[in-house]
Amino acid sequence: MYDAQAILGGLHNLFDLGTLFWLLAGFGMGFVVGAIPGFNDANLMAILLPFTLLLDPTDAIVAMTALYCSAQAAGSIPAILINIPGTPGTSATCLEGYPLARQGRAAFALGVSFAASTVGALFGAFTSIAIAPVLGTFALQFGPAEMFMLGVFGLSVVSSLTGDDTLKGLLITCFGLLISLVGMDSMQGFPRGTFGILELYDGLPMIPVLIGLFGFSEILFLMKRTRIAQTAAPGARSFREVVDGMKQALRYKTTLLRSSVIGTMIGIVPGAGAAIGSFVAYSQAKQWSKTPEKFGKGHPDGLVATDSANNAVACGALVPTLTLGLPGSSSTTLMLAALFLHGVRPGPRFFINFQTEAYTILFSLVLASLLIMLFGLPLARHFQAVAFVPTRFLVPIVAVLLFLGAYAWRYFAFDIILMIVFGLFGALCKVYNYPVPALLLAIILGPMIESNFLRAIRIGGYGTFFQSELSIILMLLTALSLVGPPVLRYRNSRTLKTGAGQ
Amino acid sequence: MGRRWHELIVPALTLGVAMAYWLQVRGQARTVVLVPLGVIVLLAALCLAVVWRESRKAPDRAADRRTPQAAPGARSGSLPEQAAAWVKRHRREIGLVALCLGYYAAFQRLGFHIANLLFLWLAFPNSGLRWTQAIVYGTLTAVALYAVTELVQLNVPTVPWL
Repeated sequence: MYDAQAILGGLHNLFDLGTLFWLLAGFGMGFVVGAIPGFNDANLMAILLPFTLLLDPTDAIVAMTALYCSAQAAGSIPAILINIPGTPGTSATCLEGYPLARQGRAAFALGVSFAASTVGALFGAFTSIAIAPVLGTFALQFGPAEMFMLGVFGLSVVSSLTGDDTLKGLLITCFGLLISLVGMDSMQGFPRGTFGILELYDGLPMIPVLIGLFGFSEILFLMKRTRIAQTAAPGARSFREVVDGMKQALRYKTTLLRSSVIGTMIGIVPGAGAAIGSFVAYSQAKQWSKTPEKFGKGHPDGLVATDSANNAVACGALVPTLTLGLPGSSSTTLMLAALFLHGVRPGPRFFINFQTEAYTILFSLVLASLLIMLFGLPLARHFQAVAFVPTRFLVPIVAVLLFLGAYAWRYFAFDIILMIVFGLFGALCKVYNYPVPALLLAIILGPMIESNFLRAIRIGGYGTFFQSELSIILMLLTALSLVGPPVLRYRNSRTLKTGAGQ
Repeated sequence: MGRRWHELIVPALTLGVAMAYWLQVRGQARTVVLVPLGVIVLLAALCLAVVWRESRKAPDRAADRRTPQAAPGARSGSLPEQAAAWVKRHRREIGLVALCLGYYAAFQRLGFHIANLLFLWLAFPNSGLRWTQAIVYGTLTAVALYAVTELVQLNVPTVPWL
């Protein structure tokens, strides 16, 4: 299960000088983007993805992993300084971080946040290293029927949990599935949904679609603002205070451990998300605290809980992404897309076919976690300034980079138009609350779902889906993931109405 | 219902694409159409469900005001007036999309570098920069991109004299 040679191979890959350089580059970019509210790591990953194709696959994957990890930690910077979470997972950080900043202790709060983030991320990364191969071995029992059900389960989780409206999530997922089936079919070679466009015969190119959905749609929304962040941040200058904050965070050993465990466990559940993990950890910290009355007024204990949990979630979320091919958020969906594009295919056979790459990814997660503390503190104050770059400069420059990114994937000018079309469609989806990550995941998983479905019915007919226990369990989980969120939302609205009535 | 028609834009678009897809694949072998047909049927059912749900909802003025494209008062007046108000509110975004389409045409005829230069000269003012600044920043950015593509030897289309 744990192959010493693969582990050493992973470490060897990582400690190559060139790879370390790209890890640092990815870390730096993730940190900048995480610090910008409203422009998250998924957007940057989408823009950068075509350029990583110029790199060696190992360097590219390590850079993307570091970017993913550092963006989660840097999301706390605007949450603490300007009360706007940089990433959705850092929403709970505002609860204690911003009150501390308003008390003039912004540097202290950043210190607490980064120390907690490092501990949470390290815990999540080491747990992932321990759990991922076990889950990978278990996933080897999956045949075509189970693989089909797994794909359907993944889509159902993302479509129902990444938005507020399950119906809209399902609709956009179905649409994603349909357009994933554009191109020549694998059995007969018949062109489907190509409408005579030769550039579509190989299927929809993932990069232009992805850049359009996440990048181009975002710059259309950026045009509405003069700057990405509008609120001025209170100063966070004193380095001594930052160090004090770090020391303070490390004193809350029980909170650190409890929140990291909660975060990692929630992260492993596909689709649960960092926001849930950090809020659960926060409520537990408050419940077990000897001074719960201080929560909400700038209590370091609460900040330790939220930030260790959300970083642990981010690391834990890579486990189902790598071993089952089930991402639960837009960032992990982009990670999945990045791995696919570099020829590394996450899924049940990941720890068989790509063992060394798997350990490279997991060890780069550990290293990036350590860098949060090492580089995060001196960089935090300066990177915050990026959020105040006027959008009148940003939008045209990013647009040209998007054109280049879309074109450079296949060297087809047609892909620029495709990127624009998907950008407009992505913007429409965002305006009307259709979950874009669900659309992207459907486009990625669609061909796998179709081929496994056809293979399964050829082996045992439609009854094959009811013959294995795993398949039935996945079917039940799919039903639960579709029915659960609307029922919970209905119950919550009923509770709120009852509360308002009383 | 009349005031919530915009909620039907996405279902209508997806259904339109699904119909066009079906027209191309109908009559083909079972393995070619089996999965797409299942997805199209499900998609049509979900579109109907969304339409049915929206038609049951009362016009929600508060929600309308919250949507980004609906400034206060935007829903009043006839459809052409609403459309004109929408275009006025989103002139910069529309301008950017038009420039992007223009970029595509220029990219094919004039190559990457000239298309960049023209796009940036026009896109910067569209974003709110003065013309003189746009010329300076546009030229600098285009030169920087030229240097990058030369450095990494990216195979971009160019005009013969570049």
